Amino acid sequence: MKQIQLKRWLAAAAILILLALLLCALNRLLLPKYRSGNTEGRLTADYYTDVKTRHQVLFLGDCEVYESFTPPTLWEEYGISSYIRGNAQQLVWQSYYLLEDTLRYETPEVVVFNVYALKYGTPQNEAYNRMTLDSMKFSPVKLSAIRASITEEESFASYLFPLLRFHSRWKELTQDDFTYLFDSSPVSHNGYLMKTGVEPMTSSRAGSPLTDYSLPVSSMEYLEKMRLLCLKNGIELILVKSPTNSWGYWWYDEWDAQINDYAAKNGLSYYNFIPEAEKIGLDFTTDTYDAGVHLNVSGAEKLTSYFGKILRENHGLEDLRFDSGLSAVWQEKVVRYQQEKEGLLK
Amino acid sequence: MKRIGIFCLILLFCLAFSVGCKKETTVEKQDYFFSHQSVRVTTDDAAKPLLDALGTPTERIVRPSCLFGNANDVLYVYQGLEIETYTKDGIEYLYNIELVDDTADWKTPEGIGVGDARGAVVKAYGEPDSVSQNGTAVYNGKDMTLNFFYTGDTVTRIAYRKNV
Repeated sequence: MKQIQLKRWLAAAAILILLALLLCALNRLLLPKYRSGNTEGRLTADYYTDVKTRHQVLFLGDCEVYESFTPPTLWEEYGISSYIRGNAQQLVWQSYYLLEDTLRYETPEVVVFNVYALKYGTPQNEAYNRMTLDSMKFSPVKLSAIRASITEEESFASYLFPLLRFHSRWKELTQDDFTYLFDSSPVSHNGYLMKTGVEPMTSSRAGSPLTDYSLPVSSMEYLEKMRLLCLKNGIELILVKSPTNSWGYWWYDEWDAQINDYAAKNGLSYYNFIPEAEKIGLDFTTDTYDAGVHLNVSGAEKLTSYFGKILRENHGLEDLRFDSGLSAVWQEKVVRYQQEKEGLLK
Repeated sequence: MKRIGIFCLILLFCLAFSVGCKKETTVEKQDYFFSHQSVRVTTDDAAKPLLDALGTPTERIVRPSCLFGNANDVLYVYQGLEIETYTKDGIEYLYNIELVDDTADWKTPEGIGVGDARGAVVKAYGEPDSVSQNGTAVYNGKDMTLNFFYTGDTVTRIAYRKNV
């Protein structure tokens, strides 16, 4: 009798496990793969493929960070190992939780945060939220990131079970969905998304005047939380503003003054690269792929060379090229980077 | 019995009061409109009718989205007027409409243009819902704001802006 009961329990458990596996597979199949077109959606997932590599520097921020700094250049020229955890319109609370998430795996020496996203004080857009959050590994940190990020129209449950959100995608499945079902190979170069096109900046039009220039209290609160988290973990927090400044993505002097005040008050370094563009060697007729909104690979390499020197001289980051294990890892990354660059530039 | 009667009366009073309150709080804000020729639009409306009516702009700036390469934001510049649009599902919508100077005598349907006095704005629109740190008068619509920028008491810019 007992044996029959045990068999029934085992059968029930097997069915449950099978169902769970089926649901997981369905979830995986229906989630957008972001392999063709909007590859930005892969950036969060890419990080988990490199957690075993030591990173001295962690970059955090929105598209201005993953299009402005190239970790392979930083390694090649300075022997500084880095990773960029940036996403399209990554809001400051998402940067904060991605930092917390990173600390589950490693503790970098320096965190570099690009300040542009501080202009947003409220959740903005589901598409951006999805790209940042859906591929975060499950943890209490992810739950907090979801809670902080969802817009009024979105549901918390749909982030826990993306199947609820993407169930209707079965009609739109493409070859990519099957090809990349279990493929976790990175699309980025340690978070840097390569763009090689050239579209010159033709307009120097400034942003329209605002009714209120105060950076939102909620975003400044998260910046403060980020500072405290860095302090607690012995990490130096550096603030930067990428050198791009164009209509629609304007960095106002009033915002800059607030960041300068915050940095001075808390003993942080803040580098606004907008007025440094000429010194960096940037030419906005050749170093941007979209009329000045973002840098292309040529612009990003110039900025990285310039910033690497600052990291070395002002922040004492060590040259790790003597570490043969790490060098071997980076050698592969640099080769892949050069190959992609040459391929795209052909 | 008397107690029950009193209780019912209080309950009825509370219900009536709460219904009254609900009515008051559900009054919806109306958006502010801009008009040109026969086109009357506000933010989030389809941009095509207004753009067609305005004709060729003097400048057109495309701002690529950091995500959707094929869904650009566009700024159309006309003399004294700037129109900003965004694209969703292949359709261009109005994001901001701004009367930026007095070179072309643009007016709001209520008759206010750049160069008018603060008094004229208040007469046409009433007191603003709020005044920002830099003195801009803000009138709240449902999903947008109408903003009057001033230098002293003179209007220097009028902006219909979608709430973000």
